[in-house]
Amino acid sequence: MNASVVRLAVIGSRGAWGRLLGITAGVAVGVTLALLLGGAYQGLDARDERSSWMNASGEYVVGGDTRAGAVTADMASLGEDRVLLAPTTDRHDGARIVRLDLAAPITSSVTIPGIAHLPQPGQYYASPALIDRIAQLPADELGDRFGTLAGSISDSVLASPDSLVVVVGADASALIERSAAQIVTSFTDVAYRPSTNYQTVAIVGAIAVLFPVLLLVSIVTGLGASARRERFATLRLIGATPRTVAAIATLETAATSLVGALIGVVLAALLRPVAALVSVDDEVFFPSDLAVTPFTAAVVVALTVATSAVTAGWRIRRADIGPLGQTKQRQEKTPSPLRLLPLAGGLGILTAITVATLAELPVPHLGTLIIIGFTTTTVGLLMAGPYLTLFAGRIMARRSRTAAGVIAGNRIRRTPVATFRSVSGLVVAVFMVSVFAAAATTADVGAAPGDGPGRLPISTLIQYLDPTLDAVDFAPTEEVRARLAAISGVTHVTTIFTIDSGNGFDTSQLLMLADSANDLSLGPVPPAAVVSINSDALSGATAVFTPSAETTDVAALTPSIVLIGTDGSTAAIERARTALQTGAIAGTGWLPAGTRTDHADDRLQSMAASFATLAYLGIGVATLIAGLSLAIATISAMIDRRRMLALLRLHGMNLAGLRRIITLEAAAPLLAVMALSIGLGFLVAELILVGLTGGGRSVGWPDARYIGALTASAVLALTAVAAAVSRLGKNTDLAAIRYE
Amino acid sequence: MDNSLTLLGLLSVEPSYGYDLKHTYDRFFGVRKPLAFGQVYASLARMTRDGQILALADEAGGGPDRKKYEVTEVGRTRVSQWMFTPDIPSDTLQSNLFAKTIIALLVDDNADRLLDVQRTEHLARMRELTREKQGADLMRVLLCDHALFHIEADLRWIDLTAARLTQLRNEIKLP
Amino acid sequence: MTALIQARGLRKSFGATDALRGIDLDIQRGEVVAVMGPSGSGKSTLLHCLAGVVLPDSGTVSVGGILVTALTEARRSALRLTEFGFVFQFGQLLPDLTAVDNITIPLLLAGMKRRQALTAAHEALGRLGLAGAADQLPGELSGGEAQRVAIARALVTQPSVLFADEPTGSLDSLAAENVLTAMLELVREAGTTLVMITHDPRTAAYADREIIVRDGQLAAADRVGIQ
Repeated sequence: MNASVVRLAVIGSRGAWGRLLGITAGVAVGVTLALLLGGAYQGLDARDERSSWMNASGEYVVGGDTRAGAVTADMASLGEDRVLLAPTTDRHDGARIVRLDLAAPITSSVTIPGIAHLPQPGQYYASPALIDRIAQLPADELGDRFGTLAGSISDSVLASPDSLVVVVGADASALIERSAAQIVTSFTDVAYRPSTNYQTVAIVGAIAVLFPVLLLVSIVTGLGASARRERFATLRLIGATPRTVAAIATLETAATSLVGALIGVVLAALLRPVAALVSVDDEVFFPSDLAVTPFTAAVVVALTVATSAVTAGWRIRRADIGPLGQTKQRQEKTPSPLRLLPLAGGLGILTAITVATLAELPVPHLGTLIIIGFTTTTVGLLMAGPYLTLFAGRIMARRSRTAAGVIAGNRIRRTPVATFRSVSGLVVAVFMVSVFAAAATTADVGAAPGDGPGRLPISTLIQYLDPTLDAVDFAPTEEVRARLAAISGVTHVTTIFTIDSGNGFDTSQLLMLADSANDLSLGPVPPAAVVSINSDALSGATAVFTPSAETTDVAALTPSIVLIGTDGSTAAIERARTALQTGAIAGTGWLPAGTRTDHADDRLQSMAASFATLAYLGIGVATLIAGLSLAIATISAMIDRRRMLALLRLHGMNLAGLRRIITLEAAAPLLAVMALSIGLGFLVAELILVGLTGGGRSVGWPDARYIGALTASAVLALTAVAAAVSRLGKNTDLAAIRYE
Repeated sequence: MDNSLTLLGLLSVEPSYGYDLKHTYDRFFGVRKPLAFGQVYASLARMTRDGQILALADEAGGGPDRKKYEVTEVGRTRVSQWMFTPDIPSDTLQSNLFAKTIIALLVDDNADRLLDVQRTEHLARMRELTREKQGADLMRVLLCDHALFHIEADLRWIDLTAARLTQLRNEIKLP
Repeated sequence: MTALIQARGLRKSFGATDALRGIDLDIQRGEVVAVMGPSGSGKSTLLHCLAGVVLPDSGTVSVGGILVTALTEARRSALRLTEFGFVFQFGQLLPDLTAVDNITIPLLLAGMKRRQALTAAHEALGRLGLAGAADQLPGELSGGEAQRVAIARALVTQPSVLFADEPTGSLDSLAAENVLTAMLELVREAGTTLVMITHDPRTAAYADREIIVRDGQLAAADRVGIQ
């Protein structure tokens, strides 16, 4: 094949350059996103793997164990190969701190990765982010909780630059009292178990973004198709074989998408630090987490180039360009109802999984099955789109009363596949947004706790005591209470009691002295020495005080909970929390002092919420790309049909009429499939959630962000069409039409 | 084509001897069929008789071929009249139209107009024939079509010539 | 009687090329005029100026007493919709619409009800002998049929002027003749003025007269007042 022939065919005109640029840019954006998403997926894994040492566990200490080698309050009993570890989740200003209290003799051979030596009592190692935080605050708000800084924990064992982790040295005698204390022999070979649910959602999210990207690439590679067909027809006329023409198309697309893909690789590398700032699961990434191996990058580039080139060649072969071009418009095949099958299949898979889960049948490879079901449903939606579009077009063509309606309706019904393709990105985006919005509704079930009359203020710290401990001094002494009460910002310190009914403590029976009950000022307190308070008052219900039927004997009461009221300032809350930890109060060890807000911030819920954030982020990207695709598709369809539009102007249709045609052609398929997308989105979310949680969760009403996302999609669609339509006047110059 | 009018046209370019006149004629129009001397002198005699040309004073060694002829005012009017009267479109028209065009160029008259006038005549004839076709039987229609196609051929020649007048003018410049 | 179309001193240039260099032209109501001339002589530009598709750089065009050159684009659109019809060489039908739907478009644009428009369109097709092709797409029609549909569409609004640019340019002799006869019959019957660009003398022979454009000017014989 002659090089100059190729040059002539590929870059014959200025418009051709625009086309090549468009393809390059589209492919570059696609590859960038693909690489970043791939990187993020690997990064999640890497994050789990790096921080796996924090999950080290071992046998719990058995009190009063007298066997040989038993761990006792004596540090020496641990020997060189055992340490005592008590993990807790501490908090500061709403942020979680992974706190690992550790008791180890100085001679211990156990090592923690990323830390030079094991901390000795009174010392601590902290992650850089935590060191920063400590340095910026008065010691009595945070630093005092840990002791003296011995060094920092290396980034190489942290999930994220944001991670707040502290390893605190302690005496065996102090830790052994803690119910969470366990005997650990190694921190290095902890088997880590990535959250498969989380990964499933992550993959689903990646698919959500990749679909619009693929659509974008498919749309840009079809840019200016009609102008190019004419050029290829000329080539055929002067003797090029169909094979040559296909080869030229393949070569052209291969070269362009190779350039685009390489730019994409560079862009992905450049954007990595920015993308790393995206917080997933509440933590940002190390930029290096998002890096993909050169091999992966090469595979992505090769796949992109090969797929787009082969597709381009195939499209041209199929278009069957003769020496005289396509004198008649190529008729699209009318979509058949068979196009609904994949959608039905996808929904079938998801339904089957849900039913099986609800029936408590074991479902192997649940995550994979859900991904397959989800992907099939998405593809099915795209396959079904043209069929539904055809329907919308038929109705419009038949029912329309205006010229614009008749023209747009007929155009849609003759070319449903092409028409749907331009809006398919938005349809997928809306589908995804609905899935995630619905899924995220479960995260909002226990929405942020609030204040109200008769409810325990969220500024009150709740410290559960552990009356099961053998230690006698678990109850706060008057001196401790006085010290707590003296902290600036603390308004009151109140004790809640339980009674020992003989066989353990009845924790559902919470009692208070009438005086301290009055201190809380949560409502009327009956005139009795001891009153009972409903236990759900601690989780936000309205407090109700009733005279205690059980006892009025103050001496028989066992302190169970300490409430520390504060003025609500972060400083006051954190000072009180610090004082509690450094004081003589023995907390439960499982649950350090926290406000109602802290306690409501349970791990699972916040994970669901962060899925939602991630999802909205992905959807944001997807919607933008979809909007871009719609604009490109609309403009290129307009340019391909400019002669037709110019003729309509000639026949007396004004620009507003032309605008209506273009707008209707974009709006009709959107409306036809949009309602379906939304409905399907919620259904699929319900199916996935029920499938993943075994019926534990189901969807509720979506939040404002969803309405926001839908509105954004609508605005974007309008903008895209408006942008395209604004070029109508220029593109339908009446004088030019005769010569085209 | 009308030989004597063509000769008269050539003479109106400049006065000429019969001998030279024959050769000029042959150069433009006699490619296939050169003019016989006898024919030239017969025409000259007739035109002299009609007062369209006159013989200039005899020069030395007179004889019919040593006479120089010049066109008169009557002759000029005759040439102009001839040139701007369109011919009835017919098979034999072409050579005459060709002659007229050449002469018009030679005498520096408006050859464009000549062709336009002829075109108008042709189109008028075509309209006539087209009207005749309306409601006529097929045989008549086919006959009209035959005439139409011939006239159309002439018209195409007129268009082509009109487009090439400048080039033609340059090529026929008398030496 | 004043002429239906009066053009005075039309000049139009595209960049360095002068398409029209001062054209004066009168066309009477009901007249059928062929516009002839070599390629690039300015025939199409003249047609576009007369129809208000393109505004001349200088000069005026009035149609039926309305000064077209002084109207806004919107008013000219409206004028084209109600007063003018257009037929081109080929490819002027909307490929997605059936023959009958194509014909309804100008009627719908003029505000007619869909049902009435369909009735009128069927009638128009019938007059051109195309009743059977009503539901066919342009891609399924022969060249001659497509041209006749285009003519039906151009005439369905009963315009006062029909502008045709090489209406039979892509047809063979017989098809061309059939299309022309059909068009002329309708035009004469309705008293429509027809301005038709053609390079084909046999097509021009259907006209009442021809005007010849050469280098952006009318050939001498066609100038106003010279006849």
